[in-house]
Amino acid sequence: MDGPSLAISGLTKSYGSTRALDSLSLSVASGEIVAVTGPSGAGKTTICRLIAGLESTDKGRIMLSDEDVAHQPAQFRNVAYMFESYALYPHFNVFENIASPLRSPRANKRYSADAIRNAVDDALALTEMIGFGHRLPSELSGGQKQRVALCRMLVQDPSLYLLDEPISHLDAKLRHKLRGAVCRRLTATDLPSIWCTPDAVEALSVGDRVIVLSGGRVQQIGTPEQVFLRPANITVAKLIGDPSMNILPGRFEENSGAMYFRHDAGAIQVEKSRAVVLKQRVNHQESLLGLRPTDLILKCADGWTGLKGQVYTVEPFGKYSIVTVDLGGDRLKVKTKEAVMVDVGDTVGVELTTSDSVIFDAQTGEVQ
Amino acid sequence: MAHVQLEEVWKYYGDIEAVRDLTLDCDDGKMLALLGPSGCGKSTTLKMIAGVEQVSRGNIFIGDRSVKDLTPGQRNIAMVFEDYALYPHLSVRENIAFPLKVRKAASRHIQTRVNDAIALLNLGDVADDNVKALSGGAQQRVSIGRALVRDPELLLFDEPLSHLDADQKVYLRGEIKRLQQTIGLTSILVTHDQIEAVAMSDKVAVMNEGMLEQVATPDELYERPANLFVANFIGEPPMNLMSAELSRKGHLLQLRGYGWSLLLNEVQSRCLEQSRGRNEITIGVRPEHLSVVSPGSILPGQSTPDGSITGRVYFRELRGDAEVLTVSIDHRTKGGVDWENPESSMVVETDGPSSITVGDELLLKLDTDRVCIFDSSNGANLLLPD
Repeated sequence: MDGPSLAISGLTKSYGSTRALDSLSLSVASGEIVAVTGPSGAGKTTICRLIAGLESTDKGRIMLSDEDVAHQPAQFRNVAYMFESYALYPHFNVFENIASPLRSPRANKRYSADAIRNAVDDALALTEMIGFGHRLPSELSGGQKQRVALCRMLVQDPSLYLLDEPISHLDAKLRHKLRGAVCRRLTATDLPSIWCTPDAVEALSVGDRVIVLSGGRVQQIGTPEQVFLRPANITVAKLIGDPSMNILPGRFEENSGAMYFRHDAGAIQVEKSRAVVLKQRVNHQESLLGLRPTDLILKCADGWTGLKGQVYTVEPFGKYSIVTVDLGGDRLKVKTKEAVMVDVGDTVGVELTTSDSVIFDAQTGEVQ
Repeated sequence: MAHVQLEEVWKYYGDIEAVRDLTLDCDDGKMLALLGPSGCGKSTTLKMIAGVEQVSRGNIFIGDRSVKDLTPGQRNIAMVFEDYALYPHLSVRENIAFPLKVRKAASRHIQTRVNDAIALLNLGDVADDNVKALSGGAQQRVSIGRALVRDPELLLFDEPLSHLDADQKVYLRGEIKRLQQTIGLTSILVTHDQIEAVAMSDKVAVMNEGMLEQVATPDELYERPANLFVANFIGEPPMNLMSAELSRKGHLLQLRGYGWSLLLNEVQSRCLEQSRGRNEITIGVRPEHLSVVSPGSILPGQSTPDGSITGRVYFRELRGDAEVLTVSIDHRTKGGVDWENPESSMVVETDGPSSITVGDELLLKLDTDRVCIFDSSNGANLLLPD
């Protein structure tokens, strides 16, 4: 595509002695959505504020198409920014709030009254807010205000979309619909978009690519599949998935041709396909094995010679259950679609069913 | 602990009926969740049980005792609040000891009870810290400890997890459930979050506009929702609902919608026999009860086999180990989705990550035995006995 694109390099920002963002480099193609996720304080909002020009950069470049806008004032950047705090005009009603960027003297073109009405009505329909046009923000719930802020972003004709937690306060059903509807709309514009969310599963859902941030640093950039299947380090592994990957400490050992990962509570047989990596780690001090909850199954403890533990909790969710197994302090979550026939306190065996476990270095936490 | 019973309980605020004719049970040692959208009456119900709101009509029993006319202090109930409600200037130990000190219990007794609670809730490392220094999850554990030392007959949880970060929510959800099961606490949980309700409770009461829609185990609610409200409220992504017509085919019945048909099994056919010709029917299919049988294998003009439906992928989302597809099934929208018309698309959940991409033509197979069938006019699930 030949629409606008965004290229950021070496972007850095400190607040006093706190490094909020540390040398971020990132490109977003036209029509691409990059999802940014991480815990609170990771630097998600800082990225948006720097790109929008609401904060000055300490270092780094922000290229919008071929122009470095890092030192341009905010009003010249033509960025549609949906704020986490909504930032609605309290004295404007819903319609006027949404229409405000189109009526602004700085809008990049003149819109007729009909064009404005159509654009606003269309956005209100999409977000199920028809009939709320005359309400003031003070007469709306948090979720309704969030939808107004989203509408105000969607009606604009910018060079770039920035969405900071756009759907976090909506109910599950509307979140589901808007992930699809908003993504399809953004993708259809040929513009680059950045979608920030603390919900890592939402990031996997909406991003063509996902950035995982922690403490102002990029932990991983990749497609949703890459981030989910091969997290770059244990920080990423602990953030991604529902529930996230289990991280088990232990050592690799070879026994009559088979490879095992030994924990105090027993050994798990691991695949031989990754024998090269594993061979190097045999007798190594300690490794961390990443085990996805769906790749584990419970076994009857009688006669089971592998990993064993006690059932700590059983949580039935309807279409699946999560069983937490205590291994003398370390805990494993097992996610299963089968009926669960165990009770709290029962001793159970745990088996690994995949040939694709992930190994991390115990010192660095990096994937091996 | 004790068995709790609500008998035909009503609550009026002036002309407004906040709770209407609510009859509910919570067995000794079990957890019952009150779940529903905001304004459904769940918090009002909890307040009536706690005694901070009067019951307008009906009765509430804890054990064999009617508590309707008792003050909150006389009811022997403890409550855990959304915002912890701890004493910010006191330590963990002092917060937990507080209710016993107020009752002027012997200091030896206080010490034993408080130490037990600290051990039970894994607060040993922070026992002498000021509560302000703790994470939200640890503060909520302190507040549970403070509730438990009084040895209440009933524990009430009012949205206990809603202020916590995602990881702490998952952790404390498990801890509360474990505690509740291992020491057999009779508990009532109020939440707007269905995940919390089903994960923690033995039974869930789904409320709507002051009335009880269904009370059942989490599995029953999910597999056999009593009506369209429950079907639509429980489950994420939501159940697919499509209008259909009922006709006879041999000795069985068949449902037909736009571009699909579904021959019902014998049991379903028998249940629906009386409904034939009278009712508008809505069929409900959970996203995971649709399977992708053959991406890209349908030829134009080919008719869709019974029990299947064809469509084009409009949106694909990886949700970790699952993948959710929004599939356009109304061929009049040419692969698009008309958001005003929910029946123009279906949501399918499969194992992820898959190689399916947006624009793929799919043949979806419905799991006949697991569909729900509702009367569109009153919402009742027609496959359940009256």
